[in-house]
Amino acid sequence: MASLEQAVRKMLTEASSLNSLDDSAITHGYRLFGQTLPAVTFELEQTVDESLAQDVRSVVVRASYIAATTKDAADALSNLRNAFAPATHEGIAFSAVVQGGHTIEETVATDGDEQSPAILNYTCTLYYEE
Amino acid sequence: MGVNPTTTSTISFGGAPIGGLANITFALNRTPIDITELGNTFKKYLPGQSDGTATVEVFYDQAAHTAIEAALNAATASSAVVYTAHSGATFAFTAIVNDMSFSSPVNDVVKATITLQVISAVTIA
Repeated sequence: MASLEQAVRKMLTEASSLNSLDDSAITHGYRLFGQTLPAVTFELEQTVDESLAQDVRSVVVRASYIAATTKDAADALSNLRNAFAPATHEGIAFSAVVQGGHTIEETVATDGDEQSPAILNYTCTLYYEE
Repeated sequence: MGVNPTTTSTISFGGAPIGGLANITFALNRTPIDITELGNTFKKYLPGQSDGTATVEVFYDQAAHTAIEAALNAATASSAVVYTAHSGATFAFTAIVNDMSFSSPVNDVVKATITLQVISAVTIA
């Protein structure tokens, strides 16, 4: 059976709201070296057993949409939110998505012409059954 | 003495397990009858009638909880309930559905709380 991380990645790669991103732009953990922007990374926190029979579980997802400008990051909020939707991926049935909050880390100019990207950080809770 | 995790706790209603269980509270009690006389130092009691309720909190899914809703609507219907506290420890009784309340708070999932009123002797096995 596929891991929960694989299932969440599948959810994001198959989301129509993120179909402008290459498959390789959506990664667990860290952005691949040299990956062009925009890109999405995500991490999962510890899963929680929500039901007595352990058939319902939840996990908090921390996703980041990394873009070249603050405006691009801000504009991506609804697309990133909509990417998390109840469906079955890799044999794991996601039954509910509880939307969380978001923050935007603005671009920061550094020495020379370098500029760090803007990052939209978004959190949600997924309820699922394996 | 054993310690038992709640992962094996279940409760069935009308022969079918109640799905999406988040919590089960089962309470049995017997109301004492006060027979204290004047001059008694300590109060005196006799055992009175027994009563019981089971309160079940579930992740509400209408497709999975239709039997309970139907029993609540049918005022005279009663169903067999079996509460399994842990493997090999069961409480079996007949119950009616006293109430069912729903909650939809912000930033959470839909839950329902069902109260089952015991209307028979409880078989403990």
